[in-house]
Amino acid sequence: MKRLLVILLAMILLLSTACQADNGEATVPDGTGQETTDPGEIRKLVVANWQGYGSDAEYAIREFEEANNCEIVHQYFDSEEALLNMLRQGGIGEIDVCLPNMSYVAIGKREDMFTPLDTSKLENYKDLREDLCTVEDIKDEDGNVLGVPWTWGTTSLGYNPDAVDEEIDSWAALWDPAYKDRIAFFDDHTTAVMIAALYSGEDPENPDLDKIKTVLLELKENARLFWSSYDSFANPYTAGEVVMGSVWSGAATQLNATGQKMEYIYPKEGTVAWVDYWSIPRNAPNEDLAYKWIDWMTSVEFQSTYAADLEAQPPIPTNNKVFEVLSDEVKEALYVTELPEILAFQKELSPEVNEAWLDIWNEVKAAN
Amino acid sequence: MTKSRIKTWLLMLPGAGMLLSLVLLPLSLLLLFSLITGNQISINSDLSFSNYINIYERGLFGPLMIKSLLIAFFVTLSAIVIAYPVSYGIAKVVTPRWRNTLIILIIIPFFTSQLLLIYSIMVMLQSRGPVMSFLSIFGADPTRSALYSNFAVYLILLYQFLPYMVLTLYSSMSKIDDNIIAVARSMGAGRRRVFFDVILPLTSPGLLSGIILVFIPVAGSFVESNLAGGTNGMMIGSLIDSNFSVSLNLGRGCALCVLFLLVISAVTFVIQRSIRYFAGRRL
Repeated sequence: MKRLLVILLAMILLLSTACQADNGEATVPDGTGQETTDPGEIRKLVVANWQGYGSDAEYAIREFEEANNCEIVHQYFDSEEALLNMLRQGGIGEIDVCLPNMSYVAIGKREDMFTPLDTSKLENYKDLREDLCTVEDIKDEDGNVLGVPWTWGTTSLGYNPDAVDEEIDSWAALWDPAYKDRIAFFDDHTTAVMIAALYSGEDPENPDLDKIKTVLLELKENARLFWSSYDSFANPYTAGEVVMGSVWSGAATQLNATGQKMEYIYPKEGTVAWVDYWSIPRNAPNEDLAYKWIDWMTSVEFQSTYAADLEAQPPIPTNNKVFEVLSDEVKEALYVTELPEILAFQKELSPEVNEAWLDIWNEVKAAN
Repeated sequence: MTKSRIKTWLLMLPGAGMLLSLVLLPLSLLLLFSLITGNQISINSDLSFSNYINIYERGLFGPLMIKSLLIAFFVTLSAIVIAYPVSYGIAKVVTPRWRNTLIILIIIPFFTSQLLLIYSIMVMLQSRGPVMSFLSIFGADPTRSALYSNFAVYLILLYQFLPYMVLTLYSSMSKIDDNIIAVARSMGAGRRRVFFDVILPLTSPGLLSGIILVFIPVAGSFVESNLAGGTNGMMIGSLIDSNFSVSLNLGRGCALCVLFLLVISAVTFVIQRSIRYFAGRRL
């Protein structure tokens, strides 16, 4: 008995160390592994982005490299925090261009990480969606922009058309007793507070928290579960246990791609949105190339190719002209046939506000 | 100092060092961090009880802690009720050949990740899953399920932690000399008398470690309730977790941990004392 146990334990130990060794090897060649044969001639543009997020697609790199006689080196981060740390720990002066989201542009601004951008150097800037360009969070004190919007996405309302007879156009559906115990709500304090604010007519950036709490408690009465990952939403939705909920656009796309039916709509009160921006860190070695890169990334040519590559799960492009080019099927798959008009951006929250919102959400969840 | 005394001290060093670096040091750090406000600690940072006051004013700790203790109580009680016959059967009834097979069957769930265990039981219970499909024969709505309730959390936790109770009770049970039970029977003790006066006192060390291994982790669990607890599933573990993973409020998170630790220590102390008392009186 004992010997058997010992052997089993030893096997587990061996297996786990073997797996670790595999992982260790796999991570080494990523990132900065490539070396040029002729370092003096070709310039290197260092781009910091998430892995597999559009900019490292083969066509994106090839066209830019050919047009500008340079080499693109990607440095990957796996969280916004990791990008900040990358910049804090020696990335400034190394990285030419990077992709923070709206709230992290604001955080980087406080630490003076980003160069104010001269938008006259960007040919495509005038075609970008205006409300994304003019948000306060991405401007410095003098009104200069620190980021150029690249892609954006929404957390909105999705429902099963087989189980819901009426046309839904309002967040009020989540509070409708007709769908009691058939609703899944996103377990995230910022979107919870913002959706409750949109529903009850409060300012989503600065709502009256007492009112929000009452509204969220009513929602909790009506809801079946709080989901926190794609699976924890998709499983009960697929099984028919829930028929409606606040949900990421990507989740709706994926559900439809796997044969499930989901209508994804933008409620008339407004939609919660996130935006990713291209920024140039201070002392970027190749600032001129970085400008060209941003212009390429926001061009109709690139953005329409990326948006049509549905397998890459693209978000919504920022260039208005792209929508003239995209086919109806792609537009439908991305839920951009009609774009939402009112956007409530997930901006940077001060630690105190973040804390207060989290406390409200925890109180709602703990209430009986 | 004599040579042997130095040797004794040297021999104590590894154990004492481990105790110091793995128990005392982390605990004092936890205590220290629970007194700071926010996240940074420096030599001249102010220490205060503001986190504790904030927790008291928010009033979430008490109700959530009581709820978690209740769930832990029911899970532990059910585990004991199920594990006694199982471990008795393995230790005393089946042949040694079968004994090894059965023990391995009980250990096998430890080979997979906890998350996988949770998901697998959720698949069993979910709407249109095996359980609901079966119940729909008798007229239940197959698109409903027992998931997303506190009962589901209880079931999942019981399933996850039952093996610990079975194994600890089995190790105590297998040490009981068969002759003792035979003697008690031949002296006229009934089944119930044998259990309460012989088996229960003799297995009390196993029972105690089983309770500790089940009760404490269950009281501190939060993944199960987040995934399967529905809108009323929140436990104390979720509150602590949100202070670290969502808002990064190190001070308040640590203060919650300290309070949790105090309550759990007190409860464990009471359990330990009552089991000792009970077992001692019977022997």
